Amino acid sequence: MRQLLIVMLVLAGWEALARLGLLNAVIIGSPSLVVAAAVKDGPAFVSAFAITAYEMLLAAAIACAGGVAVGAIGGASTRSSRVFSPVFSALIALPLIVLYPVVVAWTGIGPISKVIYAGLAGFFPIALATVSGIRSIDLRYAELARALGATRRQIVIQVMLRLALPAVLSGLRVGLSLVIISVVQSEMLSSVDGLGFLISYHRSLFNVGQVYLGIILVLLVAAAGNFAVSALERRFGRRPSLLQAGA
Amino acid sequence: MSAQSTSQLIAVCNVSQIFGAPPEEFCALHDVSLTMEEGAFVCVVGPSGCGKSTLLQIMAGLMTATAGEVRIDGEKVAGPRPDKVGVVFQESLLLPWKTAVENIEFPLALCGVPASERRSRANALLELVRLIDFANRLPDELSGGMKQRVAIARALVRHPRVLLMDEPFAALDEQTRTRMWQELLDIHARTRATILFITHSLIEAVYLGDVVQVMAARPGRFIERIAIDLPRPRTIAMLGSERLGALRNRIWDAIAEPEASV
Repeated sequence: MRQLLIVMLVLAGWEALARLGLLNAVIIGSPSLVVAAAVKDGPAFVSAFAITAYEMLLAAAIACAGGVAVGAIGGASTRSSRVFSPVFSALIALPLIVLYPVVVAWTGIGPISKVIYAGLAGFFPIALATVSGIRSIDLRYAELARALGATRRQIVIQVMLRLALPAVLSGLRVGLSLVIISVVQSEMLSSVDGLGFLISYHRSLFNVGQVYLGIILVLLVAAAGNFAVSALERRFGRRPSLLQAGA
Repeated sequence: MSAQSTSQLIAVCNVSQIFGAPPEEFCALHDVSLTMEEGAFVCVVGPSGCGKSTLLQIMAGLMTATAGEVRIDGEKVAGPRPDKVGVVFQESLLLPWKTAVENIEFPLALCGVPASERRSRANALLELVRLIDFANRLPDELSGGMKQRVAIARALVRHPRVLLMDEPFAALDEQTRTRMWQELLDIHARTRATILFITHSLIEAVYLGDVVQVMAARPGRFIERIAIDLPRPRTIAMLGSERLGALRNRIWDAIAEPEASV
């Protein structure tokens, strides 16, 4: 309730400063311009939002599945992690944006190039976190599971990955942020659709309201992503809570 | 070798274990042999680094011996056999996200036993270790002794032929340990489980076992087999008895001068 009040106050102040001419509305925009933009270009933004969300979900799925799978294999086998870890660590420092033109050259400027580029960006932190998460767990659990009759696959999935889950989740937080960032970033660079494209397009036309509308929608997507990861962390995070014991 | 193993539940035949390559090789076990009959309670005692845990790992199929073999029910051990061997380690190693009853069910889940049967078998074992009221607690909410009782129940849930225990009470405080002795003796009396119990505590070995196998280090080997003639059921009062003290001293003498017995 109090948060809502603060948001209202900020919006009112923003509008007032713009109306009074204290701030240049062409640069700083105003809430009424955003509303006007939503009325005028609402359907275009809704469909752009859907495309962006679709790209993000697909890229997140690729990054998670690939990162966890590769990380689990790399972490569970001593040999491959000695090979992979330095490679991964080197790749994470690479500004992936340099690869984007290559991805576009391969797959065009449609949604596929965004999915591949963002999926790649999210993959590395998730894979690295999974490798180090699995490498840091107590190996006696793996031996115990073997004695209890677990197959190699059961040991990795049901014991090691589950023990490494808190670490995997912190990788997921970084990875999913990079997915969101990379989708919008790549849409702004070269694209024909999506929120990033609309922001970039309207910015070049000085349609301030539309630019801010796009920004607000991107913020909403980021907030939703953050909420999802936080929910996972609450359920599976570091502290096994006493709350879920009763359930 | 095979003629001997048919009459015994467990036969460890001339097992040797060597780690490392020739210039720096380390002989952890040298020509170790042991037989156990059904229902026997054998304690293995020896100084740290004498290869006790290595022997247990070989018996559990977690490690392949360099030479020799282990037979259970006449069948050669070649890899983990949870249907024949239950294992309890020094740490309970309960999966922290699973409740007590779910931890006991875990070995059954691994081999695809249906959920309802799992639950009833796990509950029966919770009754055995007297933790039925704690079925839905997570490991973090259990005391050290309770965790070890859950670990024992988990080791027994597949009805193994033998229970291998590797210093299971070493991490507990003395009072809890004494209670766990009674608990284990009670489980042994009620289930007639065959138990191999590894420890470095002489008192523990004498108090629990029918037989104490004394080991020496470098290389790890059995140097003496001492039959414990204390009557069963064992009671707390026996801990202070002269007979127990005499047996303890006999083991101490064997450990203190291993050279003399070789």
